[in-house]
Amino acid sequence: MQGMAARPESATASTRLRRGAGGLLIGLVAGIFGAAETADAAGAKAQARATVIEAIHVNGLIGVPVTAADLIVAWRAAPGTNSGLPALRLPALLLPDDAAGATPAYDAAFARTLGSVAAVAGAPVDAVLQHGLVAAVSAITYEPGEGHAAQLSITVAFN
Amino acid sequence: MKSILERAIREQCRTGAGVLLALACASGAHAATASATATAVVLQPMTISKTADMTFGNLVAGNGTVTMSTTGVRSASGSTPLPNGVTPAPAYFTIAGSANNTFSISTTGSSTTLADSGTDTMPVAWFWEVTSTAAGTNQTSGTPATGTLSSGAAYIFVGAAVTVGATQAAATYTGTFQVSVDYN
Repeated sequence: MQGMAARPESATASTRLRRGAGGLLIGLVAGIFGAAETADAAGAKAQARATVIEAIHVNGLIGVPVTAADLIVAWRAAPGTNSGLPALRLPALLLPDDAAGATPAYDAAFARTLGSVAAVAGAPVDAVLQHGLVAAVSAITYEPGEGHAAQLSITVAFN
Repeated sequence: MKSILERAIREQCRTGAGVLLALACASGAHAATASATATAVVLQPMTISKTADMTFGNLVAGNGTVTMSTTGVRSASGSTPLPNGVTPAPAYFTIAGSANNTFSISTTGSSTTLADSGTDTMPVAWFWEVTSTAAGTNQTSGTPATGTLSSGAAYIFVGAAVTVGATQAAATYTGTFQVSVDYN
């Protein structure tokens, strides 16, 4: 609390006519009081805080066939600026799971692996950050005969 | 002799000269009185206290000018999405004083930039609103110079626009919003 009690001040003005020398009832005393003008300033301060975090680095294999073990998504921010960020989240990854590639299916195991790899690989310094959001996954294609391989184009953004 | 004296007194009364003669004039006049009402209003001293600091949240180069409303809603002029890991919040102040009086608002001394611990800065432009309840109304502009203590209390909610440079260094930036109020 930075409140500051103010100092009240009042101002009055009076007008008095002097009595005549003989003390007769000529004198008139007129007190003129305006509403007390209270000079009563008070002040306080608030701090504004903004954190600029470093742009995200994606060290992935973008645009080439990858497996879960190959894909690395790393990101970091300035040391000490990551508190309060939520943990890594990944969208559902759609991977074709058959040679025909006609019916993409969510591969939960792949997603979990990706998350694990990302959390480790994103550690350039002590402030590492396991925080981020894969905002979009696109351009998934199937490479016949490669099992769970996919060509991913991803973008990530900080939470 | 008496007539001479009376003429002299009358003459002195007419001209207003002479103290002793003035007494005689007065004694010969009818007394009159009048009264005036004196009124003084003592106002409760105004107080203002910070209730909450401003949290702008996380920003990233490419956000451009980020405006946070008086309820903490952010928008960015740049194409880079705003990081949303930290909940933004406006600053606000609580004011107390005598009800139904208006007051002036001054923000002299407030920061014009947010700065990190080094030499990096970001320009900041403040705006605020005055409310009678402890809630903002999502304003994104406005710098009212007066407010009203409707029920003996008022609140000032503060938003701001911060410009993040294209190569803004990653760091925590701070600044101060300073406000003073005074009865009108």
